[in-house]
Amino acid sequence: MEKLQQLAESVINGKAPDAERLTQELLDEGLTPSEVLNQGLIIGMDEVGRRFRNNEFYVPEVLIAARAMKSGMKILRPLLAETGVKPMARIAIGTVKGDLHDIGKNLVGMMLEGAGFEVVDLGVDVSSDKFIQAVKENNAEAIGMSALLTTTMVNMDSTMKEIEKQGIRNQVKVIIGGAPVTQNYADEIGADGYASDAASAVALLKEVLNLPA
Amino acid sequence: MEFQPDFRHIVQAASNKKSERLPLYEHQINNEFIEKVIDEPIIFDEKDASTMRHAYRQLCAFWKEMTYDTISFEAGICPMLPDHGAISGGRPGPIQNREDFARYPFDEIPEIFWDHWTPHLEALKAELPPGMKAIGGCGYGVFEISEDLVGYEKLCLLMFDDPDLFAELYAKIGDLMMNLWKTLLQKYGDLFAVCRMGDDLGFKSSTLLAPETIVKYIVPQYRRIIDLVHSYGKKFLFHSCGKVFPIMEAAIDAGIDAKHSNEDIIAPFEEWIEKYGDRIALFGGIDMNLLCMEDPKTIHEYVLEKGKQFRDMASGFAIGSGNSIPDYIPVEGYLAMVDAVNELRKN
Repeated sequence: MEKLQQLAESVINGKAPDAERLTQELLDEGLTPSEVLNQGLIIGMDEVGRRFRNNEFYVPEVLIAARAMKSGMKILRPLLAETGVKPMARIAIGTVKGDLHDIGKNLVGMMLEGAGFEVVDLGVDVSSDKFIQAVKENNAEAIGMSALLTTTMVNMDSTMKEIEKQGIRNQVKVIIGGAPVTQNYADEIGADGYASDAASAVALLKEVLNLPA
Repeated sequence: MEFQPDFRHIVQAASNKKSERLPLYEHQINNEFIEKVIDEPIIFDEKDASTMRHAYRQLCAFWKEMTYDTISFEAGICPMLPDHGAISGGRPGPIQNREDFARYPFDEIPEIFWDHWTPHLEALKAELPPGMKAIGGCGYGVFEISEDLVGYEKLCLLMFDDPDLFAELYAKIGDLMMNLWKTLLQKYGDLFAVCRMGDDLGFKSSTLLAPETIVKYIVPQYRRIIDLVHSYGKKFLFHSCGKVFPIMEAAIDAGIDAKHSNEDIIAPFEEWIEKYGDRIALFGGIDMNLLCMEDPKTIHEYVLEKGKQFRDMASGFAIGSGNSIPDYIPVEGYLAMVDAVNELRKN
């Protein structure tokens, strides 16, 4: 449908007013909220992620795309809740204890939301307890930990150990990323995966949760 | 025999020539780290000249003891900006729209800056040991100042929401920096062996803005400052973290003489030398993660091996960490690097 394509284009081009208008028009024409989300907004953010991975888009382009996506979601969110449509999965993200850097974590959050995940943003300087609380109380099916510094990266390891200690390791998948983080480090601490950038985090999360790509 | 600093080595290196003695270089060594090494507190008091001189005596003695030919010194601009702090994240900057920009007291900043930094520069001037000069200048770069004034995420949105303001902001920052750099060079130029600007433009996989945006708005401001520095007969060192390869040609074209900052996870230092070593000097080489995580013996062996390899490959080369020495680097690992460099010098 041409208008769904236009909606996707409005997200790719970061045109928030267009995204909002087209979302409403598509609903008025009889499409379900799920159809508008999956065949319009998410298709647009998928393309944004692809371009970001390929260095065709940079952070500013991702930010305006996420803003356009949000303007459509503002209309869709209550309708999705009313009709009982569940998000793809719930993930709690945060920058680990001792680290106040949030740009990378915010980008990951935007890309995941754009892909249809529900994101619980725990903020910066997040302790092991807070991550565990998000699993126990918010039923987060996955955790995403970010760190900019080599010294704070080690708190990913302590959070992994605490998750094991609390006996909830089999309830939650853990993905990690950030400047000093590597796949080797993810393997070393027993995380389920490592993503080198925000767009790759979407594919990784789908993979570890066994969701369709 | 006591080490005798000779700043000409680092000038040679920054001129992309093989220096007679391999210079050690750091962008910054954190004061808390230095306090741990010298086991004394370092106290700065802008209102007390003797306290200030004592602090710079301690700093200079440390850099000399560690066998550096230069002391890294920057008179930081960002901390002098009224209501600054957005660069660290978590809060918006004082400029969010055109009204904020029009109201912002840019004209007052030079006075604030010099009130704060003059006592530091005077103390440094009085305490520099024979043969040693500083490397640095006015601290923080064009992009970092814009991040501090606006906030990174808002800055990204501003580029689309108000492109005229985005352009005016960089021109204004360039004017401010030129004002400060001119005075610094007029009054204190002789203190500096090499001038330097640090402007982190990248992260692990890309640049923080599109390369064409950086080239259009930020690099022209670099060019103004580099031309000024060159007019004083000094070399210009550019420090920028992250994967900044896409803007390197523009930076070289703007006149940088040397580049510092490298992370092995982005590219091995050899790649920097291969790509740019025929045109500019390259400083650094030893990844921060190594200094953080490895034991002193491993660091010593690595620096001996790689230091020789980098010196053989590059024309202008000064060795040190790929970024800086913050307080969380283990002292023993840092000392192992310095010790290995001195062993390299003997050979």
